[in-house]
Order: sequence, then C-alpha cells, then structure tokens
Amino acid sequence: MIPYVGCEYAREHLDAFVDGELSVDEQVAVESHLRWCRTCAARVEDVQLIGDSIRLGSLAPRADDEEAQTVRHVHSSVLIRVRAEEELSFGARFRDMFTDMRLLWPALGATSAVTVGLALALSVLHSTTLERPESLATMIDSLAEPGGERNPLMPGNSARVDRLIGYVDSDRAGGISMPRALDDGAGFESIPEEDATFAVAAVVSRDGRIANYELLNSERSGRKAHNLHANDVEMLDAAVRQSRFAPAQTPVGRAVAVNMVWLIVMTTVQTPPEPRVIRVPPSVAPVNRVPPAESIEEAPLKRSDLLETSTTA
Amino acid sequence: MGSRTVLNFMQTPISGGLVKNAGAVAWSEVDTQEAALIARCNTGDEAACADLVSIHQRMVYSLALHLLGDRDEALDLSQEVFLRVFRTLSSFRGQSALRTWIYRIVINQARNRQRWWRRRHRSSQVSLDDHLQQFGDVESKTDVLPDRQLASKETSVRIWQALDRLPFDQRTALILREVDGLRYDEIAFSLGVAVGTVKSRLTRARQTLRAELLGLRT
Repeated sequence: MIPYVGCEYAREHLDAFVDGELSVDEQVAVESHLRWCRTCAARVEDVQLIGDSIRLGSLAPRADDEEAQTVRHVHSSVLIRVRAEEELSFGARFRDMFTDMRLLWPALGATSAVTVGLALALSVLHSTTLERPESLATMIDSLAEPGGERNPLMPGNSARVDRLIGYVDSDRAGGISMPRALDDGAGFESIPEEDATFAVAAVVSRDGRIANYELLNSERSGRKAHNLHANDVEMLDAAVRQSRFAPAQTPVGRAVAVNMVWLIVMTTVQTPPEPRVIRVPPSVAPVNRVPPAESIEEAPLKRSDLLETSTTA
Repeated sequence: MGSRTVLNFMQTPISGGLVKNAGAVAWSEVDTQEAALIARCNTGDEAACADLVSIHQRMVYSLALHLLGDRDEALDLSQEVFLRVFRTLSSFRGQSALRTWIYRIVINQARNRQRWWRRRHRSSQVSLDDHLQQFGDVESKTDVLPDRQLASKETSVRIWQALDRLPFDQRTALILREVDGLRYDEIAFSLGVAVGTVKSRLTRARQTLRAELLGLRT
C-alpha cells in the first residue's frame, strides 16, 4: 500500500528526491504525491532544470581543446616541484649522508673524540673552580678583606683599621668596639669550684660566634700552670661554644671578626666562721666585675674575685 | 585503467540513482588500485605520483575553475592542491575515497583564496558568455537525456550568474552535487560539515536559483 503524503512532507523531501538520496519508501511516497500534485511536480522540474543549466554551463574543459592540453601539463609542473621538494627535504639529505658508508666510521670516531675531549675539558674546568684554602688566590682574597672570618682583625693594629675605615683619623684609629657578651658566661656555671687559671684564644666572627678557639695552659705570677681534668676541659669547651657576642664593630659601624685572648682566673674566697664560696661566672665582656655591695658588707673578702680579661693581639 | 574509470564517471550525466550506482561500482573497483597507488606514492615512486596526478588533475582543475572562475588561478590552485596531496598523503588513512579527500583539499584551498581573490580580481573573472563564444558548447550533449534538454544557453548563463552570487559554501555544495555528482555524505566530508547541513545548503541554494528562474519566465 502506497502511503499518502501531503505537500508539506513532499516539499521537505523534493531536493533529496531529485538527488536520489531518499530511502525506497520515501521515494515511493514522494513519487505518488507528484502524480497528482502539479505544484510539487513543477518544483521538481525546476530543480531538475537548475541542475541541467548548471551542467550545461559547466566550465569543465573538453578533452580536445587547448585548455585541456594545459591541464595535462599540470602534472609535469607538479612533479617537478615535488621532486625539488624531495631533493631539498631533510630526509633526503639524511639518506644521502649514508650513501657512502666509507665515511661512517671516521665520522663516528671523530664524533667520539670530540665528545671525550669536551668531557675532559669540562672536568678540568670543574676541578679548577674549587678553590683550596691554602692556595695563593684564597690568601689574596682574605688579605683583601680585613675583618673577615679568614682574616680577623687584631684590635691593636690601627693601620689595618685605618685601611678598613677608609680614612686616617689619629683619634679614632684602632677604635674598634670590643665584642660584648650577651649571655653573661652562663656556661661557666658548671666548672668545678677549684682555683684555676687558664687562657682561651678564639676568633669572634662577624655574626658573634666563637670560632677557632684554643685552650692555652699558662702560668701566672710564677705559679705552676693548673692542669685541668678532662671533664673540666669538656665543660669549658661547651661553655665557649654556647657563648654569644655582639660582634665587634669599626667606628663606621661595620661588623668585623677579631682575634681575642681571654685570661680566666678563678679563685676561691673563704670567710670564717661560715665559709662561703662565691664563684663568679667568668664574663667574656671586657669589664671587671666586683662582688655585690651586700656581699661585701656581710662577708669581707680575703681574696678578691678576680677576673682578668685581656685582649691581645 | 584507473584514470579511464574516473573520467567516465565524471562525464556520466547526473540523474538520481544512475549516478549513485555508477559511482559505487567505480569506487569499489578502484579501492584496491587506489591503495596500491597511494602506497607507491608514499615510497616516492615518481611514476605513481604521475599516475595520481593524471587521474585527478582534470577533476581538480574543473572544481577549482568552478569555484574561482579564473583559469590561471585554477591552474595555480591545482598545482598547490597536488603538492599538498603529496605532502600529506602519508596521513591519508582511507577514511574516505581518495577522490573525496582531494576534493576536500581543493575546497579548503579555494576557500582561502576566494576570500581575498574575488574582492581584488572580480573584473578579471571569466564571463560565461566569453567562454561560450570561445569554446562553444562546453559539454557534449550526447549523454544528456532528451527530457533534460530543456535548459537553454540563456537560462544556463543566468543560473550561473546567480550561482556566482551565492555564498561560497552553498555554491560549493551545489557544484559538488550537480557537476561532480557527489553524494550527500561525500559532500559533507568534503566540506567538513554534517549531512543535514549539506541538505539545508542545497535547499537554500536551489531556492535562490529557482527565484532567478521564475524571474526569467516573467
């Protein structure tokens, strides 16, 4: 049975009908509609006439005319350009490089030699950039920078300070402010309560830390040097490491590293009838400490606590 | 052999089912030949490249001429198209017939040229009257069915003038359909659009041309 379709359906499918793009059912339905609908049939004829007119006026060249001959030459010019592109392409050049295999091994050998040479040169450059501390360059650098950790200043050397300041002033030459203890020698609380005299040589760095310190045994006033026990040395060592200082400064306010030697004397003061030992923690600041006033009143000292601090070059 | 098949296909009158069947048969015959030809071209076989150009050069030039309307431009575009074909042939995966794939390249190249070229060289376009005077009837009418011979030269000229004023996409769709006989899905692939879009473009183009036709009658 042929389905009935109206004009609206038919017009929607007229183009596809003319182009043969409908399914069989749709084709049959539209054909049946066109049998009785003159309007839609006229539309179909118009669409077909349009197609015929387009094909009639088609500019396609005929096989025997001059233009067709020209078209035939398209392929020759195209092939010439394709061949030229092929010859200039990287792939073609790369293939050409391997046409003569005699050059392969020399090329590989040369490449390897260059690679090894570059590696050696880089390794030499890398090793020479590491500066040794005892080298002349390091010494020159350290001498050029007085006041650094590797070239600490000696506070009494006014000439070097003048150079560091940049101008000579006889009143201010050598006027470096000494490092000032920030923790009041708290680490010395643990040292045994025995009389002791010893010296510490150290460098106070620009950030206020102690570096390169050395414990020196010494004699004072003709007495024999006091030999410290191993535990005492460790405690002293810890006390020195824990000490913090406000760094030494030049008159223009620049922080510098300085060499310092501390002479530390610890004495025991005994007072009858109630012996009392006053142990004064050694201060690393360049000041002499005196006992508190009340202590003096209650118990006059026979021997004064003495802390001598000297700064020497 | 392949070129003869294609040329015969191009000269076959376009009328509904006949065209579809002829095209289907021809493509099924050349599929394996196309694959072998493409493989040879990809290996750099110059003879194969020459064959490929020979097979498709007429089709490419014809479409370029219809889209641009200038012989020199069409020849130049044809060369560019084939160069692009050979540059990108290795990426062709058989997602369509080779012919449709080349159509797509022609249309893209023509679209790029047409945008600026038509504005600058419209005066040098080929007049259809001049073309007919120079070459006479451009198509052999021996294959045209009697009931299709209603189209006159005058009608053809007016229709082509109206066709030339159509938007590029509508004109291209109609030329691919009426001149080259492509199916809707092939036109869709060539234009890079959906089949529904092709239908609507064809309908709009034909409505415009039908209005021109009605103007001729009154």
